[in-house]
Amino acid sequence: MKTRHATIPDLLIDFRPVQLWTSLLLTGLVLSALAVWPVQAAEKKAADPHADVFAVSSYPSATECAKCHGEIYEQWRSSSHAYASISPVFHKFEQAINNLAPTIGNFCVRCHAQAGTQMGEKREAPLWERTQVSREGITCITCHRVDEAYLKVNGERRIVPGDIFQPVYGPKGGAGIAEVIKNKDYYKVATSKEERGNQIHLSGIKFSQLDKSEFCGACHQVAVNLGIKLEVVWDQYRASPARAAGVSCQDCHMSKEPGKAAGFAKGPAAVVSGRELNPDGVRHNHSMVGPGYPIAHPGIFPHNTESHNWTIEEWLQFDYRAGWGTEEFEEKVDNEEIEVEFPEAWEDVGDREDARLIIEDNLEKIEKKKELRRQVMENGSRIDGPFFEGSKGAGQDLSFGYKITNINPGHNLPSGSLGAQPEIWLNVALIDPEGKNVWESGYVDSAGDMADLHSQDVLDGKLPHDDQLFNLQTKFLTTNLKGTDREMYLPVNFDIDQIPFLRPASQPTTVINHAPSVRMEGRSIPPMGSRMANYTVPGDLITKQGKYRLAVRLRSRAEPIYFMKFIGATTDMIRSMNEWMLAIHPYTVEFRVK
Amino acid sequence: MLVQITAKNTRILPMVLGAALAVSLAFAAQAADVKMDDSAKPVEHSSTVFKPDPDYKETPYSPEAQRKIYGGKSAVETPRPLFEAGRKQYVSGPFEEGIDLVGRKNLMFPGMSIYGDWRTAVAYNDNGGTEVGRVATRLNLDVDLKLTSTERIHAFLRPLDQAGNFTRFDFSADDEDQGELVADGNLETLFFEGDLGSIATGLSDEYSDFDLPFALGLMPLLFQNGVWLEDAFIGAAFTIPARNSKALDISNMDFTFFAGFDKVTSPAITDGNGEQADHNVDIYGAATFVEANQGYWEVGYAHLDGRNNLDEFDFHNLTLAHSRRFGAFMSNSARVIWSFGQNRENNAQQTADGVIVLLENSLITSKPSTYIPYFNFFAGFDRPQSAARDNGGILKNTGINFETDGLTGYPKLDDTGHDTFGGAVGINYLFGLDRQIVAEVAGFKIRGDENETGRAAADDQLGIGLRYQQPISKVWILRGDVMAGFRSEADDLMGVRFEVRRKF
Repeated sequence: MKTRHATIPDLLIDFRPVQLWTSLLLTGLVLSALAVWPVQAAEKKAADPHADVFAVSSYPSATECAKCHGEIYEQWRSSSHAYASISPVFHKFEQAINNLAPTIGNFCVRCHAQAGTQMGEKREAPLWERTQVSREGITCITCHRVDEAYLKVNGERRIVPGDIFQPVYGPKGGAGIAEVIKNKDYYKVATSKEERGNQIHLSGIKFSQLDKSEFCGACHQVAVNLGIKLEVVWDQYRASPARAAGVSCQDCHMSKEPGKAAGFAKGPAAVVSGRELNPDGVRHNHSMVGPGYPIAHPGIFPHNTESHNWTIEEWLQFDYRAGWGTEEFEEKVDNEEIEVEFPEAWEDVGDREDARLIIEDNLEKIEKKKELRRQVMENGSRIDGPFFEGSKGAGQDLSFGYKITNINPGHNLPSGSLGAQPEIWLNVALIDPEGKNVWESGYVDSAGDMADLHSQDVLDGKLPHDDQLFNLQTKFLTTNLKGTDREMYLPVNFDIDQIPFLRPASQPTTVINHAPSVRMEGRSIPPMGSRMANYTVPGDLITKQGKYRLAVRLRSRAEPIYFMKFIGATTDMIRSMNEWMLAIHPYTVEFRVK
Repeated sequence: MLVQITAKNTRILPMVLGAALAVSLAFAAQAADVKMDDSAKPVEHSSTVFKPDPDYKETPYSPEAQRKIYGGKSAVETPRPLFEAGRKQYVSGPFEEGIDLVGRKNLMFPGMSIYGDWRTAVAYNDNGGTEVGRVATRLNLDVDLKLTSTERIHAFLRPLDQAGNFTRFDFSADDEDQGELVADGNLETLFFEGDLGSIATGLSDEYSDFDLPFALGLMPLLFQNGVWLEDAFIGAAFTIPARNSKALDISNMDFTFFAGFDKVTSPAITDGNGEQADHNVDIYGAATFVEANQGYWEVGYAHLDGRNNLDEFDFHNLTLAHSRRFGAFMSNSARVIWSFGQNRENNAQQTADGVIVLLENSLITSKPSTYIPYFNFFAGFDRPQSAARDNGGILKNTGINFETDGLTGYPKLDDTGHDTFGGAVGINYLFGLDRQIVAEVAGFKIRGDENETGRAAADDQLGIGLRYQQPISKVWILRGDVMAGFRSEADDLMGVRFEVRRKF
């Protein structure tokens, strides 16, 4: 028997070869136990057959709220909040990351479909099998049925269940609703299921966190349990001049001027049976203006109560791009200029025309959103330049720069959901006296990606690398098996093993900057900061004398195309993503080359 | 002017002037407050001058593809921890209300989970001096007790091994066959992690103006992927997180300060028996992480302070590292670690007194995420040390041939970097992110004479290694490794191993 120092609770048991079989047997037993340890699906089906019905009634839909809060519903229905559960990228990404990192489970849906997840809906449930309130993403009750102060909870919030008659939480309290209840006959409201009229909540309770930035942090400062940060807006805001000045998220994103703390609009928070409540009161803009934009089928987003005449599956069959339901299209069908085999739901031309009206209404709504998006981006940034260095002569290198400034005091440029890796980059083109584009930076490849290391065209040698690219996109890095880091589509490391488990880290990750082997690399401009984008055009491209033009624009896109391809995005998704690319502060100057 | 007109054409003059004025006003207004070079003048802008975006006019609408977005999702088997109580990780269903024990603005959501992995391997290893066939097993258990959204207690145990001895059975050994069942109830780590800002918010019921994450206890710290520091010691650390600088154009930066008072491990500080004196060493240091210049910088300083007659081993440690990508060509990290200030008594051999430069590189290929050729180089001058480390040597992250398997005693090349220069060149291929093959050649040459005092490697070494890894389910992973090492002035190395790993 070998001797070895042992301390309690240390226990070292040495044994001879005769005990080999005991050892192997023990190991085998434990391994067998682990082998049969269930790989559980997390969902548990409710045993009570009435549970689903009860659950639905306990989580009222925005369509119910719209009866009195129509204007707010109108603002909300095209917002990024309303889009959270509809977003095609969300659905594709959510499935892709579950396939690759299976412990992620319901992490994504907990924020994006909070009510549905709380009701126990399966994360993989088809959209059309989800409840209406679940499809509404960040809906009314997601904020106004919360009575606990959360902050860095990574989306793990609790909606207080309760039917339409239960209290609603707001920033001011319930004077208005008390007035309505007191005069319920005048306002023609129902305070119970037995009464006739609009069913409404019976009280309003002041929830003091609701109009503070901390309220937003629950979903806009998000890390996976391992310590991988996906959203860092709170981090950025915490260190911002806006925070120091007492300007809140709501002050800029719910104000009357997109992205600016310009005060709130005035108007009634509710119109009950045609009667305005507190018409001169403060009304926060529930568009929640931001840089995001929808790429979903316009039949299913923006939310539209009129669209409920058809199912989601039927809407997805509706080829809005081909012009179904438009006069021009239907004339061609009538004249047999085109032959279309319509699905059953859309065989009737009247249905197509009715549907087209909804599509047009939604597209108009989206156009307005696009304009708000442009405003918020332009209100948060500026371009100055060009500023030339040296002389400007034919055959000589031309050096110049643009100064990009983040004039938004609240967070970096860009910010937002960095898990989606939003892009902002500078696109500059030099046009010679004959109108020919002789040089450009910030151009895109055949898929729409910038010509950097993620461009498949660049990697395949079909397109030159954009050496002078000015790109503010935050990058995810994973550590190579050995050595340095590389840019990666997902903040998940596959080099250590190929079934990465996301569990609480073994290290205190909040004091070591990042989770082991995964990190975020910000390239954004800090609040009120500036960065020069410097360029040099080779002299051999400047062959003529005369007036040249420099055209510039900041471009913004919510997701990179390489990332979309990685998660299995459809061509239509990629198309919409590219079509929605925004040009911020576009302008052109001319100058003379001698 | 954009439009040149003559006074002859008086009929169209008002129209042209009007149009020109409108256009001029449009772009003038747009660029009105734009500062620019004096030689530049705003003119009409057109987006058509830029290279075109992708064109999708001919792309037909696909209802099937649309349907798959929302209806093509599938259930994924979700491996659960070995044990869960309280709030579970990432399940659906309603949450319970929080507990306001430490404040209603820092609610408690208690949740405990036990998880980790179990590794079992069979290997035949020739470490030069010894040759052994071995079956060994290792159980890694993480115990996590989540308290609030920012506070938790975490422990890590390895119940089946202790001090490098694993539960094992040796066969085909130089000595007779034998086995050892090792049981260890010691905690490898046990720490509290929290945020002082959140705690203050909860206790005062007023939102604090700061975030200050901290950790204390027996805590593992890791900086620069473990190259500069990888050790679990008893102490404390706090961080000033998520700062930025518009003056220096820094997107994000953290400052971490740490101190350790027990279990500080450094191969440079040993007791009279040559054993690591981790109970008699303190460490004080700081580390900074700065995201700027299209990459990130890491700067660190630590002071190792020996106690109980180990003062002569004291040393300082300074590091600077920069990581970034170069075009579509290469990813790179450049690191320098400098150990200095040691003053041994009686001219004894210095153990921490040198510099190591590490250049870590990988190529960006047409499959940038899955096909990664790498070439990592180092040059060590004298005896550079990590600030602290209890796992492998300073070259652990240089190549697979510089790392053992933490289980069977799989052989490795000398990983100290002392008075040597060399590197590792290899290919890491991940197929569809579902399996992995790694092939690598590594080696180094010595600086100075053969068998020089103070250097671990007697002479030059060269190694070749191969690894294949493949999951066979959502929880089981198979892995095989083989390596051969060729050492001048020492016996050669050889190892072959096969591992089964169960994650939970």
